[in-house]
Amino acid sequence: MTATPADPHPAAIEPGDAQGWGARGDRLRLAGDIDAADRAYAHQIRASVTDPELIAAADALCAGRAADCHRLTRGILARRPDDLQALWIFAELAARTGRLPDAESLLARALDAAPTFTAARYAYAMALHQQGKAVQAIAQTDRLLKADPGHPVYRQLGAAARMQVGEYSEAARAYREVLDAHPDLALTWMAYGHALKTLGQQDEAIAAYREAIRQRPGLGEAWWSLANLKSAVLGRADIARMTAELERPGLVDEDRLHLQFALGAAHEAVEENAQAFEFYAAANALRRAALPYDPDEATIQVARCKALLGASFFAARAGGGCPRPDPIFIVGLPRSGSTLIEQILASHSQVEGVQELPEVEILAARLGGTAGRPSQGAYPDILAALTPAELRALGEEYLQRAAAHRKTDAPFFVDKMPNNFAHVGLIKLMLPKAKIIDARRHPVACCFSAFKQHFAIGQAFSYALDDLARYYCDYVDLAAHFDAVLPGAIHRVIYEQMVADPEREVRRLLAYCGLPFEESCLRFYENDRAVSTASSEQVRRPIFRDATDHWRRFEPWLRPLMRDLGPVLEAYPHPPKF
Amino acid sequence: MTSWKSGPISLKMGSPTPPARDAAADKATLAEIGASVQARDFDRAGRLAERALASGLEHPAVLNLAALKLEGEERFEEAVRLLQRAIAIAPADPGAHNALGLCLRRLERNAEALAQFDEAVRIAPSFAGAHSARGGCLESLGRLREAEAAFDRSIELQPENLGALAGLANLMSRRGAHAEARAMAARVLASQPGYPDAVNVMAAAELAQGDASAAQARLEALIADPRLTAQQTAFAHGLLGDVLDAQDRAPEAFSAYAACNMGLWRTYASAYASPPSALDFAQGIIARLDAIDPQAWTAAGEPAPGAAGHVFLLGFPRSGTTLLEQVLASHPDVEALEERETLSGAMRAFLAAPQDLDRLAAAGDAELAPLRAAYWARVRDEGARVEGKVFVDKHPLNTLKLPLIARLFPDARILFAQRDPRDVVLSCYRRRFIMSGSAYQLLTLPGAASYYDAAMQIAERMQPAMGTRTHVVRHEALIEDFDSVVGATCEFLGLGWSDALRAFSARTRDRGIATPSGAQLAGGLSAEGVGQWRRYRQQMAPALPRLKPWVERFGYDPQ
Repeated sequence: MTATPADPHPAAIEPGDAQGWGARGDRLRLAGDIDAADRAYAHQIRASVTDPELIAAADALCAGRAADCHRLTRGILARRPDDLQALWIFAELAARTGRLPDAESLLARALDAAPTFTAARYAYAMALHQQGKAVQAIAQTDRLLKADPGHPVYRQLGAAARMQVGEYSEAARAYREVLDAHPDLALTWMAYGHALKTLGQQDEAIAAYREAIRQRPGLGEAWWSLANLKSAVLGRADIARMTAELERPGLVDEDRLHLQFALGAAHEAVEENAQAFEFYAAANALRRAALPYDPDEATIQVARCKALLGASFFAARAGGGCPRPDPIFIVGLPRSGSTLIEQILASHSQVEGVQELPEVEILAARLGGTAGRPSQGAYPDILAALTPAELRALGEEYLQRAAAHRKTDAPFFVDKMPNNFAHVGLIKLMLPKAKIIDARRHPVACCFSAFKQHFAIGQAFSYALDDLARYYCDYVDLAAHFDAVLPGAIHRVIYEQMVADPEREVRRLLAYCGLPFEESCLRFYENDRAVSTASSEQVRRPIFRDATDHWRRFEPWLRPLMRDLGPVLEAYPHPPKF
Repeated sequence: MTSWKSGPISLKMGSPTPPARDAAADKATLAEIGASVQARDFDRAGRLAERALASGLEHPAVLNLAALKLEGEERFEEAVRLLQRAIAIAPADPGAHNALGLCLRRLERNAEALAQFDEAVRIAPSFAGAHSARGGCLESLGRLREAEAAFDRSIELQPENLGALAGLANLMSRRGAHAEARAMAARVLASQPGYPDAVNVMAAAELAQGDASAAQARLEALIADPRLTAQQTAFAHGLLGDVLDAQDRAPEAFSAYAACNMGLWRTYASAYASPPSALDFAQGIIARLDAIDPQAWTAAGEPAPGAAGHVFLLGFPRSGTTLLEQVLASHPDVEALEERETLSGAMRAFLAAPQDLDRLAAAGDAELAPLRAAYWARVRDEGARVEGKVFVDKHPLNTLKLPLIARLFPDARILFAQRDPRDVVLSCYRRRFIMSGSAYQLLTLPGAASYYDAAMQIAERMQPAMGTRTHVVRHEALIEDFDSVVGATCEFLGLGWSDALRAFSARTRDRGIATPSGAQLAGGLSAEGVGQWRRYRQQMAPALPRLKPWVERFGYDPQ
């Protein structure tokens, strides 16, 4: 993380001053220095315990001796299973070693016995939030804030959780309140900017990002957030400032690659194509080197789906699954117009957009088991062993999980998680009546757009042109397979055709979904709903055509990509013969 | 957030002193349970027993019934613990030993289960059910002759013992004696329609006689039976896969195999799904081998005591090791053991984890000699008489233990069975093995392909040390030109030609082969398995990239 703002030196805190250590942890957390905050919280624990055994365990936690801490704490808990402080230490250790479900259950146990144990409740809320259990996390932060209304750490955690469940206005308000009391928190300004951007308040978002940058000029993510607004916010003066920041010694990779992505976008905006591509390539290379991405994995998983999920497989399972028709899935690759399609559908009176839900992915991962790599797990083969009752239960579970993200009682909702293209088989089995829309865009345009994008999480295939080409081909291959074995089950929207003749495409789209035509779907850009994905700025304008051929300016640098795409590029918009 | 109040901290003080029991009440409870058992209302008996147990009534019958209830809920580990308590109180109760054996079987702890069945029939020699269960256990352990004897004994004691009849029918079926198997299974089904093992035997017989559609209908009905355990359902799916395969319906057969394998995957997940997997282990070995000087594996050692020769026959499951072993075992000068864990002691000492290889590489003879002695003792215990013979120790997965073999037996020769990697992996995917960490790895195609790749990589890394004493036997070549390939193999082993080698299949029928190859080999040489993967070309796609280097290396046709 970026260097932290001024903070009392640890030496100024007495070792036994639990309150002092806790306050320091809070400040560091607000400043975004998570590791240092964890160290301070460990000292807080150490200062809170008096029992010699607990002191030894807390010392081990402070010193980062995880194995010792584990052994000592487990020994204490074996003898005193309800020792609150031991539970707290064990939970902290679990959270720090990535065992969040364990941390959650340990803290729940501690809180059952001692509901006023505030430090444990905060740790509990954090463990819930980090597992994506936003609704439960909010319940905990609300409870913490009831007892201590102004606490910036609780307020900020609550806001982050609200962002996860789409309560953007509430989140923005919470961030604003934190900033009113603590205007020197650069990261909070940036988070506030994200919330404002999602709400479509672009000018306010820009101001928030600019304030974050004023306080911390090397904050790469804030620069990238400005660049990612698509509407050419960054000018030559910004390019000069970012270039200077890149030269600053001690810049961490996370800031560097964000600055490079932002510089790519800024150069592109002023039509300096060579410089733009150079920065994009550098940023991607940096990110790619830090990712343990193996392109074989996607290829093998696609081959497994094709091997198993043939026409006879679906025929033998016809009539199973959950019969509810509520979900409309938009699948495909990111940057293929899925946000546009979602916005069009969400402008219909019977449809709610719930953005990108991780729920299908979560179910698939659970079915696949604990193997480290998907190819070594049981998915998708496991689908062969599921009974009709199990498939139905999965469909119902998906709907129940999705319900947590819904705000209206519209009969249909749109889940636009693009990666769900890999789970079309699971979707058709557990929710046979769900609609599936494949958002497809010209392969070079799509891949280059993803290459230019720094995604907040996931999309690990998008940080090298050869990975992208391979992934795009795998995706087209799998979609063609489902077209062959389930003819007509997937509706394909070709982005360029949507742009060329929106009315015809919107009518086709609505017809596939079984929805009556509504004019509002053509004026989707008037819809004031919040949109949080990389395309969020674009859908606030009428369909614009300049994006379709934009990549041609970069063709000299994209030839390796075009070569790797091969037949898929030549046959576009149709699939080649696989 | 720092000012928290913990409130009173409650401590567990250990279990309280049990109150004195009310003998009359206990007696009444036991009487009530006994009455339920008499009325064959085991649900009620189980509930009563569970309640009695919770109240602290420690009595063998109570423990046994509570265990039965847990068994019904598939909570086998807990049932095992209760039955062990029952046996501690009443060690001479054959029923408790039998019940414990059955629970251990469900956990695939077959060796421990066998000890319980042995004890049950020792205490009660006329306990037909225990003999039958013992037969099933022996079958799982690959001891087919003894299994058959146990089933026979059970039927002798109780002619209509369905478990024993079905078990015997299954043994017949495995060795390809479908007519006898069918007659026996029909007796079981007449008494209890839908008895899963018997249905499988009937279906296998119908399949062998070319009536695939009858077999298919029979198996589909069986799969729909809600009384089946997950394991039984899985096996029925697997057999259905064979039936569909025989009809050349590859995509449907593949779905059925997937349903079988994934049923087994789920059944055995608690034992095998958590890392490290067998593949992780194999890859760990590769990583260690890369770090150790290959010279470490070339030290000289002592020849086999008493034997005229010592041969490890390895490769990979379904690569032709069983065929080759059967052929060699037909030679009058050969003594062979089939897939026995002869190296288990040495594994524990020097290959419990990949990093142990460092110690193995540096081990001196003082450490290795006792393991060598233990190996030969185990070979004798398994019934092999090696004096004056060429001893063949066949285990396809010993490929993963090559470093151990290199250090312990630098004098031994290696026969390496090689077959088209695509046929090997497809066959591994389609066959049902006795479950183990390795077998679990074979339940998916990418898993099987990766495991194959790892085994071959280990063999490749051991090549500098083992090459000169290794002879590769190509399965397809053996089928095509038996005499010259077997002749060359014998020559490598210092054996002369014997006409008995050609008659191996008669001997196979007689010996009762435990591996999935048994019934196939009983029919003699067959080229049926060559190039099978082409029928599953699309289904094999997830495995092919990993196998491609080996297909090329071994010189098989890429298409």
